[in-house]
Amino acid sequence: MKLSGHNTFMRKLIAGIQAVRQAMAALLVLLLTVPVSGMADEAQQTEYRIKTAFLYNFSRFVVWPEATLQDRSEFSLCTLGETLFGEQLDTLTGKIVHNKVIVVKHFYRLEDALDCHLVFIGEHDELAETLWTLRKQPVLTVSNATGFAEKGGIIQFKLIKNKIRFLINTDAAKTAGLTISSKLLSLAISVTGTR
Amino acid sequence: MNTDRQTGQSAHSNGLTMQTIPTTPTARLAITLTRRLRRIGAGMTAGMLAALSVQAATLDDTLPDDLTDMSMEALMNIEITSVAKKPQKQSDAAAAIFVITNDDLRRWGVTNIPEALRRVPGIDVAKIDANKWAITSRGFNSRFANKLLVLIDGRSVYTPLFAGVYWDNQDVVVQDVERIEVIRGPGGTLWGANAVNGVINIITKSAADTQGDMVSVTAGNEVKGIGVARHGGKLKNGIDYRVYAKYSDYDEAYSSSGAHDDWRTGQLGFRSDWVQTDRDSITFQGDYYRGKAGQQVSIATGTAGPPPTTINQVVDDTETEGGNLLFRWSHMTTSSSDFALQIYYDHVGLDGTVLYEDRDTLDIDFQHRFQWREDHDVVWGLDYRFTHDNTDNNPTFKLDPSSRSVNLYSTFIQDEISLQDNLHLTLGTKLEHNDFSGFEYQPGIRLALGLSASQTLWGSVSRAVRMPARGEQDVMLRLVPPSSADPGIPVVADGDDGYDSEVLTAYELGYRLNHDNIWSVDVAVFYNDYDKLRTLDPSVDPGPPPSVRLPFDNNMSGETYGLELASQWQVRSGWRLNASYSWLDMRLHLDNNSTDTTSRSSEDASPSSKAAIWSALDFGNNLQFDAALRYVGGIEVNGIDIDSYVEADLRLGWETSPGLELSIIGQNLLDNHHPEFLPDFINTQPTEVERSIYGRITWSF
Repeated sequence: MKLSGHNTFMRKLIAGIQAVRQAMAALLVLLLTVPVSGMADEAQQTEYRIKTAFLYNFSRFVVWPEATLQDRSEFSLCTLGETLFGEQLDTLTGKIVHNKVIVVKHFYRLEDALDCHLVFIGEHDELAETLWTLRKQPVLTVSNATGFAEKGGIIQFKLIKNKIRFLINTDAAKTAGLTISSKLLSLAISVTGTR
Repeated sequence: MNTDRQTGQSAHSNGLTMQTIPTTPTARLAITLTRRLRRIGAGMTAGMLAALSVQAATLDDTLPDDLTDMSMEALMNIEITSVAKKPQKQSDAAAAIFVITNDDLRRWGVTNIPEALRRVPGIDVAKIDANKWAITSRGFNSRFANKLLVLIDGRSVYTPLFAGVYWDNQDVVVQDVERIEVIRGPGGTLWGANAVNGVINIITKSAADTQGDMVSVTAGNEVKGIGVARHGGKLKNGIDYRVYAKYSDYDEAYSSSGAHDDWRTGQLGFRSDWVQTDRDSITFQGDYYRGKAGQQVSIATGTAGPPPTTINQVVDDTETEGGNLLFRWSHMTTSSSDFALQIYYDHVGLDGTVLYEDRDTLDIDFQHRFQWREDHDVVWGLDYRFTHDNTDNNPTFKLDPSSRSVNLYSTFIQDEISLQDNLHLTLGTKLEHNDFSGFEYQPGIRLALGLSASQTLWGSVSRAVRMPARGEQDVMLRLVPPSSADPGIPVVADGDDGYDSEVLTAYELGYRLNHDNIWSVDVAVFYNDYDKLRTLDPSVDPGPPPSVRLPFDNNMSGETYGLELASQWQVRSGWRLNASYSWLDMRLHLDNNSTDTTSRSSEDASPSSKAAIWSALDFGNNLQFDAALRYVGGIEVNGIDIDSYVEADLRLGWETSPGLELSIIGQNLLDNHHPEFLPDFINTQPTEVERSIYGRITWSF
């Protein structure tokens, strides 16, 4: 190790550390007065705000069969079961997709959700059964659930290194009669099924 | 020397209403990045798309109210703080950082890396001739400026020959650059030996973000032609890839006696990214280039003593050829621990009248990050670099030995401690061993305090080392003697085995404020204390034949003081104003025993102030107008004055249909031509920068 200049440096470093310690002591008073907000809640809120925007985009970039759009006066964007969206999702109410006004609905029973265009499936005991019931319905199923896309769900959110990404099961989409735009497919981290 | 990693977090503007300036969340992010990039690696970039550059914000309060206005690409780039992980705090950025986004590069009309750096506070960019630049951070500018570390996708691109950069060889497809992070001040703790006054980190997009085809043609009076073709696709097994080719042809600059400095370069490359699971990401990429750069160089020839030395002016093309391959694997072991392994090979070939270099480098870098107890974020790493060169001796430039292998071993550890939610202390040190100066240590301490949601105060004390370059120990460079001197006596710059590292102790303080993304200010002040700076103490060798020797030595100390400011104001949706300003004062002192007559002059080779102001205005959705004014103060290079100058840049961009963009760009519009810098060590003929006007068509499909 080169020692010339070493002592001066160490002295300065120690002086620096001391200065920092003093500054820290002074700041302590200040810190006590700075409110510390719940970072976890904030993060969760951010996550669901972003997911809300994604659901909106999914609605835009998926094509439903003509009939399911023409027959209904509105575009139904639904949740099934408990979700963490809170009131976030309701901010989509009134926006237009495929020339229809979005209406946001929250359901707890599958029977009520059959007429939805898009269903976000939250905490739900009978996921496999739900997916089986919806598989031939023109309903875009979306969920956070692990393995959702493998089990026959169409779009699955996945947190990757703190960013929200999604997986797409194109076979499930095809069975449901939905067409997913190439833009969505190109952004998915993985696409299962034949394109 | 440790290389930096590419990170994935994007920090960019979506060109709409939400433009965060590099100074706040972006910078926060970026420094988190730069810290975290060491952990994460490139795979994370999978998320950004070529078409848009996307400004992401870490914190909720920096997001716009209505996220549905944002593109999906932008949404995918927002980092959310997961509950399980340690939250990212705004106070993370305890350093002076400026981020140039992909959108900035487009709007500034940038054709190569040096042009991108002109508006960055604290960075001096000056052209010596059409293909040579003097670029530095916080003073000591020269063609051979040696206190700046430049990385392209984690690959170090400065040459160990003189510790500077052959800027004309560092080409990238500008459209595929995700961002350029410019960190002023020492980054020695994490990056190592050359990161004395700054680090420039050029990060290209993940292949997942450059899907599809792109063709771009640029042509004008000075930029004679730049053609780029890129194809991006996805293999069946999920691997994203892109391949590209780029060719650039630049006209000569201005000189009353003929410039002969036109140049051209061609480059091919690829990048593939594989993000198979959320735990692993693998990047494999490579480039190959060839170039030819004209110059007019004066060299002293003839033997010493009678007959007298003659000074010849030679017009010549420097031929360059090089390439690299880089592999990076990032693996997340648990949610609070990950490691990354990076290996690259790099070849540089350069054959000019004076300079000749043929170099192969292999670098292996490993880093591991983990969380320790609740509040410690620890990252440590190991790096080994082997570099071997061959040189071709000529009467002007000779290295002894002509071929040499150099090993560099290094290790570092850094701990970021969360003392409070808004108070972070970072302690770290790097220890390395190089064949030139032996063991070197580079510790640093940084403290960041979040004053409120929108304000951060930070400070740091760190030590950084600029290890000797190969040339400083081994070169014999025949200089052209000053006109007053007897041309019959050779003047030779001599490498010296005892030449040691230059040492810096840096004290920095910074403040940044971001008010609702409407306006923001980032201020940094620094005091740098240098020791063992390079000197050339002349001595007469009586011979026979007699000669003047200038051995490299470490007989100078000095202090620099500076202030850097960057500010942004989002006037309204679709109109943004930016300003940057830097002030620098350098005071160099020769040791009592030194007889050096030249080294102190670098005090005057950087402008004491420089400033830029620029506007980015959108008309509707598809028309953009950009304007900039740049001021650079007067300098003096080796006793010759160069006046201050003001220049203007303009751009008009029109997206005629989705994917097709036409633009017309003017640079340096206020003067027919103006000088910016002068050569050092090697007497190439300086030329002047001319007004440049060019058009560009970019078609993505």
